[in-house]
Amino acid sequence: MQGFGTGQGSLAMPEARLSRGIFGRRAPIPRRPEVRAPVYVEVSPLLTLHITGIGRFVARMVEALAKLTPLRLVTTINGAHAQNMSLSTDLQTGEEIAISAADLPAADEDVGRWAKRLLKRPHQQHDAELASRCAGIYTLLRPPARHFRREISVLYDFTPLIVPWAHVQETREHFGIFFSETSGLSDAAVAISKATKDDAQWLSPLPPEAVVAGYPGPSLCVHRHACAGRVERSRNIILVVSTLEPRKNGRLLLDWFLDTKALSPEMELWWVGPKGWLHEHSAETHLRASKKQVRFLGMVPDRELCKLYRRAAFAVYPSLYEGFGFPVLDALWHETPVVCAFNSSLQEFAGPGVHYFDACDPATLDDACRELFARGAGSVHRDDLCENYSWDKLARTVYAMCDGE
Amino acid sequence: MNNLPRPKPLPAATQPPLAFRGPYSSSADNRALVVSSVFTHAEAVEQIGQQAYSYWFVYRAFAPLLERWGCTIEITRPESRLDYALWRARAQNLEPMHLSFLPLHVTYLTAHAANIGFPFWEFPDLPSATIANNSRNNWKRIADRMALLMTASRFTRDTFVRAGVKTPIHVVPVPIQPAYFDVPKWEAGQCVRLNCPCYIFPQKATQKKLVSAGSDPWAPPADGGPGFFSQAKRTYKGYIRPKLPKPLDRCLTTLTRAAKIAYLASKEASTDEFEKTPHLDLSGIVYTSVMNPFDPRKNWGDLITGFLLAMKDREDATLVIKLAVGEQLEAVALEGILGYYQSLGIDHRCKMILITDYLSDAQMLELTRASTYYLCTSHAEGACLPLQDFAAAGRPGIAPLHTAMRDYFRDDFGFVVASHPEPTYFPHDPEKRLGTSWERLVWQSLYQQLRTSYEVAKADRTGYRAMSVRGRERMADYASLEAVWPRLVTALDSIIVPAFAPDRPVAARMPAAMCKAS
Repeated sequence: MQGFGTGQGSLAMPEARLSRGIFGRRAPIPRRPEVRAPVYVEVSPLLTLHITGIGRFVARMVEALAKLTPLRLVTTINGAHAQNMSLSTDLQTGEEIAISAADLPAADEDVGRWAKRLLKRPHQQHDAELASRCAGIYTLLRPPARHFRREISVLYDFTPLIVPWAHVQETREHFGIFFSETSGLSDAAVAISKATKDDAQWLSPLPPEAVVAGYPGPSLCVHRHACAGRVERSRNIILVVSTLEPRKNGRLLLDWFLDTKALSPEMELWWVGPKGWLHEHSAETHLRASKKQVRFLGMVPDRELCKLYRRAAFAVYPSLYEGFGFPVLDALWHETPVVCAFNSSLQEFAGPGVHYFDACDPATLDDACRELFARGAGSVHRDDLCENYSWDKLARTVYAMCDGE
Repeated sequence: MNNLPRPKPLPAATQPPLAFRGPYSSSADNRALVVSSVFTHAEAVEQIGQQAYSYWFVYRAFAPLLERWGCTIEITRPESRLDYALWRARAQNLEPMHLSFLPLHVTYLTAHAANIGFPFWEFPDLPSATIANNSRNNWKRIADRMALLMTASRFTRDTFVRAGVKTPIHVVPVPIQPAYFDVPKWEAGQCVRLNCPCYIFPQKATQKKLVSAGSDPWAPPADGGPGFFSQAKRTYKGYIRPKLPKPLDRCLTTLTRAAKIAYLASKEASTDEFEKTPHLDLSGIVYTSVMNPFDPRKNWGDLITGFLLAMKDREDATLVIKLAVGEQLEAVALEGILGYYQSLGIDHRCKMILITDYLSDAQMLELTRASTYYLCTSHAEGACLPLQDFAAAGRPGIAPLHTAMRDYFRDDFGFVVASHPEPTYFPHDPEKRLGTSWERLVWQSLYQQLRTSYEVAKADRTGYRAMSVRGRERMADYASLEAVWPRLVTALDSIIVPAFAPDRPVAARMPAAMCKAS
């Protein structure tokens, strides 16, 4: 009926993937012992309540950068802004945490817990004099004055400008200042997709040559699965991983799922992610009136998320605009096909196992599902993932930018 | 998957030759435009009066010509849908370009096709810096990143050129629907009924309200002293607040304020006291104006005072104000205008009529037929489509000769109202810094031209007819479909350049091939 592959063995592929060396085929990372000066990393995203997209990015980048150079972790957000963001006080302005590769475990077990442990390490007073001789990486916003010898910004997305209605006023204001003014103070920026680099060309003051596109790796299970052991792939679970906020287009997805005839009635929609901002419950009546099953699982540990990706028949990602799209990569990394909106950076995942639709047209979502079923659902194998999406590669790019290369 | 609309071929005799054959068009059959629009046809009734709503009318006016030129695919929310539409078009062997009928600060620029903008700008200066921490508000920056700009007027083009915009700019007037050229001429004794509800003034209720507007300082308050809310506020501040924790107090205060604002808004928006007439009979000398009451450019203060004082006791003079507002904002708009009207205290016998309902194309044509003149008191215009339409229908205008109107309006088919520049702010600047200028109307000139126009319609039929004919002729030359078509073709074809040309626009050099999904 839906064209699923019948061999159960083919549905439980991660082990086979591991045996093919996907996780183990890392290129050797050249050590650069001649560089003694640490690189400063502004890690405010690690202080947020839920370590989701940007938080996971920062955690993984710290993990990868630490293999190349000693790091000093700092935050520059304090006062009312920190309160409004509900930032933890595990690290505060004026402090820094020194990190070296030798004492840093891998984050694959659980990125959230790993980040918390990282922030519990010994703190020391921020050394501004040393900082002025080192490079600094701003991973969220940045102050309006330079502080480091060389400064790099990370550009995730320009959604506060492109879909402003999907953000609260404070976010629009802070990122508006960053995009229009302070980002221009950085010597260079790394954009996490080609789409974000393109957007930087018309929305930021940075010259095109100062922005480098660098793909991150997956947000979980970089080196090994967080959930060890075999997982059977289900035929009936559709997985969506995203914060419940308007840009993620959850309303369209729910309405489509409850109304569509393109799915068999047994299909269930499992939703992983916290409640975010401007979240509305307007679909609840629709949900109650339907016999279809929707499960809101909230935040889950990485072990569980890994299991869910490997269990799902397919993942769906209807976002209205993205800077990268971790859930798409994470699904493909776990050999799970994805039905995905075709816009922004999401186009860059094109290839086997990705079926696109118009983010505002449920009929095309039906078509994308039918296309997926027609080609035979089940696990997908993407040989390009390791090459294109690598934390170590990104870390080398960023580190080279810190050196001014 | 998607059935894209196929291009409607133009009869061979009128189809102009393509100037270039290049990566964007190997033949007329595969040319396509993905048009980003502010809303869809189905949403039009609800969205009238919202931000950029008039761009939809512009797109609609161009639609037949765009379909002649190539396959058109309409989308909304371009940031989420544009690239999908481009991808689907390419899957059907079309070579799409992106044409945006949106203001530049909400235009989305794709990296996957040439971006063409059709901005309206009514001021002599262009925002060339970030406004309100939003780099999209820098129109010069956005304009410079487009492959082509089309403007409805030379005024707008000149503003962009003066600002140093490097992108090629073509002036392409907004075409007038052929039906306007066929509207029967105005006759002095005609009477036209429009089946649309409206408010007609003066009303008895208005008089009553005017009388009771002032409160008697010696009489006891009408509601019997301080109300419940006032007493509750005093009690809360005096006895409860000191005992509450601060966060709880802040929370309660915020909630109360929000409730008060909502209450006042609902109270202010009440227009129940005014009688709505189910249909509208128009006769005599009818002046019509169409406008968004929330747009300060439209200057409806001068419109109302000028008309009421110029036509004060002339019972056969009528001003019809067609408000471009959706249902949600109707009450707020009416309250603003009627509050102003009442505050004027002008006793008059001429009629002022407000229409808030959405009028279909047929109803708009009927309103045009019923009208003697079109009245525009705007401070600045990017085109003023109703003035164009009415002139095409042989209805002379009473309007200032500034901004876009300079391109087509003349005193031989209308009455020119004098104006002069005064400083103002960019419409999307929340800080309202004086960054540009618009035109202040000379009120006495408006008053005089209204009186003259009335006399001409009443007593100089020949003069009126001559103006009417000249208006139709002028607009046929300027903005009939056939007059606009060659200009549009020249503009769109200008970015279809040979693949080998080294100096073609950057966006036109974008690879046609997109990622091959699934």
